[in-house]
Amino acid sequence: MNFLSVSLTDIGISRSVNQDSICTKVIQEDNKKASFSIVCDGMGGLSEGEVASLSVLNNFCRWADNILPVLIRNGIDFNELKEQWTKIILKQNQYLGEYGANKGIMLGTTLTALLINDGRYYGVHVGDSRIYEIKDGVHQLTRDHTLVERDIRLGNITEEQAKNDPRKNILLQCVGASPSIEPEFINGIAEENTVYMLCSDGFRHVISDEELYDNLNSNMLVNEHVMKERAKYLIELNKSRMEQDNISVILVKTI
Amino acid sequence: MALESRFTYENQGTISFLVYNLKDEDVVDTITSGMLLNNKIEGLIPYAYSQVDTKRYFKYNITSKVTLKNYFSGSVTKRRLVGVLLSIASAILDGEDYLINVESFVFDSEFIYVDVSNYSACLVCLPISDRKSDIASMKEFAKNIMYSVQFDQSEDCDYVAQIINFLNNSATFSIAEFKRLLENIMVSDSGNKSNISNTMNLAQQKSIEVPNVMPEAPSSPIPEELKQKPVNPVSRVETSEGQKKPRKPLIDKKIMPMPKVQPNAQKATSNLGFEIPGMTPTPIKENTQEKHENQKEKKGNFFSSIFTKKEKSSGVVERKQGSVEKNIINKPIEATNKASNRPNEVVNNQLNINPLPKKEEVYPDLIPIEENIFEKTTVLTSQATSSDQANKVQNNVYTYPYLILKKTQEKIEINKEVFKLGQEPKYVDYLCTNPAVSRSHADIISRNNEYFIRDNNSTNGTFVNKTRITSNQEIKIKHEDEIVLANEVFEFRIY
Repeated sequence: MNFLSVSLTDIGISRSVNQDSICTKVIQEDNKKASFSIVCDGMGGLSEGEVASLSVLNNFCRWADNILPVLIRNGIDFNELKEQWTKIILKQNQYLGEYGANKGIMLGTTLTALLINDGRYYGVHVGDSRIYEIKDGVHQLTRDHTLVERDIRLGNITEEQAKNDPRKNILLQCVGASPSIEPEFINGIAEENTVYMLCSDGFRHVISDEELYDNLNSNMLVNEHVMKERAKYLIELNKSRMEQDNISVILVKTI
Repeated sequence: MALESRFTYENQGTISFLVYNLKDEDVVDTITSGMLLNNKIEGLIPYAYSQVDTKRYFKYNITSKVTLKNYFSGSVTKRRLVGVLLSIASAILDGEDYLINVESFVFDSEFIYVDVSNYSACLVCLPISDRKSDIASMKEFAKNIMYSVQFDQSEDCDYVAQIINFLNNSATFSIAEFKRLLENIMVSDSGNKSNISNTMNLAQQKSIEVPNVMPEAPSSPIPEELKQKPVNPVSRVETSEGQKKPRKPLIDKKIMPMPKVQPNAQKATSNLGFEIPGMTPTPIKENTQEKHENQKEKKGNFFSSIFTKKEKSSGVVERKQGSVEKNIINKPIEATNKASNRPNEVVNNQLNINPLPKKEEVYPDLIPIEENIFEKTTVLTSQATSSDQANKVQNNVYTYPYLILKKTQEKIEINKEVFKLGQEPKYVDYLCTNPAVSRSHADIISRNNEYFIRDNNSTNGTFVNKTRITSNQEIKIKHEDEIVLANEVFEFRIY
């Protein structure tokens, strides 16, 4: 399985710092390839979100560079993968917690990462960045860890009511600023000609699923040049619709 | 418990009933049943018997009362605890006058009912022959209560020790002595005791109406039994009437210390005791104690002023489990300023990551939009653990849900796990001044980030989105649901 991938981030129209950190890699080992992508969105309402997001990203990228090749060679055991990722997350949570305590601040970040290898995808997720699978339609693979999402699931509010909820931006957990974390893991079959999208929440507040599909279905994204161009287009679309947040997106197509 | 499966609830217009479904093998104890039907015995719930085809029912009028279980949730004051124990002890003793065995009483706290305005509990009496008692003894029952109740720590808790010592005393336990102990505790309480002393005095005056027709038991042996009972009112019967005279009701009818709610007395125009779809019945006014009316009004205003002010100072609120919410919004504003002043700080770990200095506005051509803290992402913090949540993120609330009183747009924060609504100032968390609202009308329950409403046998009912809800059942409520207590309209909001 081969991959086409692009990543793009934009500070947006109103923030003074881009607190998103993103990265996508293709790791090759023994003629086998794996795609690893990660989006970390620093908490804007706390301080030094960019410190938190970059720190977590770097640690995961170091894992991808050093340990992932071994897993590719030997085959991936999902339980082992979960263990390794959980370790990184807990360590980062502690590190950021201590860093923050020493400075008298609180800092945190979301974390959403996707590994695609040998016809399967594996993901880890904390917060409200998202992973989508775009095949025949747009399927959200992750659940937001937000107060509002929890209320919708519990039946306290409807999706319609959630649109006006001022608590929209409140996360239930993030890496660095939560006393305890439970990362969510996903996995499934990754077929060819499928587009996977990772994005921070700034990318998808004002864009509909239809628009995503129209612009990002696998027929549309024939090469990396087009992928970059489509990603740019959608980011500009967000900005024209007055999206306030940092805007980031990663596109990976399996071929 | 097997009891629960036999009890159901019924609302008929303004009256709430607890219904006991008899098992086929239950044999009705006609003497006890007769006693209950023909006498208004204080401390026992008004009782009726009905039969439909082969199904037999006992019905108990529990309108406007709350279950003992609910009444004793949260911290319990001395007045409440002693009042309840005293009224239960009195009920058992009074029952003996009417030949009612203590085995017939139900001692399950879910089926003991309390009138919150006068701290008195009422028992359900099941007139079933050979019924096995719920409890080993009144002593065990009282002990269980003492060990399970959370006492109000702001009061002098000597009385607790007094009661527990009495109960642990291995000498023979007598209910009458227990009652005397409780009365002494009440009397020594310097607060308002006229209510309790009234109950005590009136306990002396009783009337016994022995039914004229008793299908099973022969009529003659009864007077002899009555004669042997060493209770004052009975001996009065003997001295004034003698054995051979036909039995007559005694002179004094018992005077209840407070007027009971009489739904039929005040004829509201459209009140037919059931609801006509599309037509709202005129709600019945609740009768409250005249004695305490003035006091209540003053207290009512006092309490409502507290409750309306509370919403403004929602910064730190204490919850039952000891967690304290903090408003974390203020903090980051200071913190971000700090960060921008130290651009060169080195982070002492794997990588040197310097916080970026804040830039000037990036797009000067656009209308400046303030970086509003409230739009930025932030995270729930917690101060205490909560046991029930699966994903370990805590049960604290960033903001509480609230009710809006429609007629005044008043905001009422639901800041407790069990938030009580009603007209009784000493008992509720939000005081409704609407006279159609019952004393302990309804509770709003917060649990695991879900919210429910429960009607406590209110007279005029509780409605969610125009549908009347069954009493004693938790009904889930959602954002923007309309909640009506009698005819008082509220909107429930999560944000």
